[in-house]
Amino acid sequence: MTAHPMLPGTTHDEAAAQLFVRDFKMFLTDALEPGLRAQAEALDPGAGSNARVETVYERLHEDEDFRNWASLRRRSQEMLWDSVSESVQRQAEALEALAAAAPQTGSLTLDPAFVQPDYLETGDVHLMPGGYAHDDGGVLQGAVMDRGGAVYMLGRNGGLMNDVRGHTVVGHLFTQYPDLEPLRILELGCGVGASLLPMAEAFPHAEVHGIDVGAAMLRYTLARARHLGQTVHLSQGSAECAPYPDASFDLVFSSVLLHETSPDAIGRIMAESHRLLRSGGVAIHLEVPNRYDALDLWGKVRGEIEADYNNEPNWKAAISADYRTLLAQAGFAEIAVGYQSATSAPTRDAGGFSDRSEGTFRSWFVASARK
Amino acid sequence: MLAMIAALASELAVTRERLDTVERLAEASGAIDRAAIESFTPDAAQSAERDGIRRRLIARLFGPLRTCQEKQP
Repeated sequence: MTAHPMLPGTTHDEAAAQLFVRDFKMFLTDALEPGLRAQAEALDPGAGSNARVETVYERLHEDEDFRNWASLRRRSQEMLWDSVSESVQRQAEALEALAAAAPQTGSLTLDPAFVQPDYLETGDVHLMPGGYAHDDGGVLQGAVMDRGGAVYMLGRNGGLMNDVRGHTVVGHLFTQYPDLEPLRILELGCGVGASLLPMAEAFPHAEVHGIDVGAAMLRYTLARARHLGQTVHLSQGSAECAPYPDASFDLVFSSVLLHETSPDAIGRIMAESHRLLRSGGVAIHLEVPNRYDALDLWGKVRGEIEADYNNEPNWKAAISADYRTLLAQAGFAEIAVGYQSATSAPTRDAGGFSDRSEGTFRSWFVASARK
Repeated sequence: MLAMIAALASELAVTRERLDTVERLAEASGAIDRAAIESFTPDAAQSAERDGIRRRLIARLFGPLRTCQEKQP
């Protein structure tokens, strides 16, 4: 599987442990969830209840099978980070040396006074120890997130590059805004660069910027980009208040960022996208491919489980939000809300945007608009 | 349950130590290079076979949880 030079490697046993976690998570989902789904339906108080999901979720907790499953699910996630962290620690020196040896292209601007938003402070998203903002002084937290993310996605998002979502944002831009040739691009919440770098690859003449809350994350992303021969400019900051003047960009985008924020932050990020764009510029926000209203009972209960057992507190708000209204309120016109086909090789004439989801990992939810 | 896990951990430690002995003796006799074990990358067919072994182990070990689930009304 294609990787990139900064991605932490594995010993024989580390690789085996990570594959075990991947397959264990798959078993918990594929083999055990059908039984739980049936059980949830059996506990359904019916459409007359005004707290249907909450009631089922509470009743499920009285059942030992459910508690065992939920506990193993959480444990599998902890095992993922345990195994990846241990592996990254083993090669810490080599990773720092590799980062330092990269060509000195692009830039990194850290803000020592930066304080991460409350919603990230209160819980480590996805149970990753330390969360996005942890600063180890080097690149290691980024290495943990990158390797862990590739294992977590079970190889369904571009393998070890984990970059299908970034290519999908490019695909949406080609399809929906074919006239736009962005010269200045910003990603809000760029993480380890899995979506930022496909964008830089698609627009080699553009100046590409990314912000994130994590200093270690950004150092790692810069090293990843440099080793791939790409030039990016990274800054520490929040998507709600990005450190750039008004009208600085032709394209502002985010990739699965909103469901890691808060219900109020979603609207503020739409407004911030508008502020950052020049007139005629485009905002694209890609999110997880579910809409709350379209989920069945178990799907909705699963959202509660994600929030409580995997620190995904904004999942429900992000998939319930009315993006058309939020974008209009932020001042946007030409608003598009729908699903973009997942791709790892976007082309200008491929299309792939519609109002129907093709299913998880086959398409992603996208809300976009022009200023 | 804790006693069972302790017994299982003990057995695993014994097995790992024995495997280590086998590797060391095999290396000393020139049969294998232990560094080659660390850098071994299975090809697609080997990966698929190993995936099957791992998944069967998981299904056997955690299968009883599935049975419990399916017994529910």
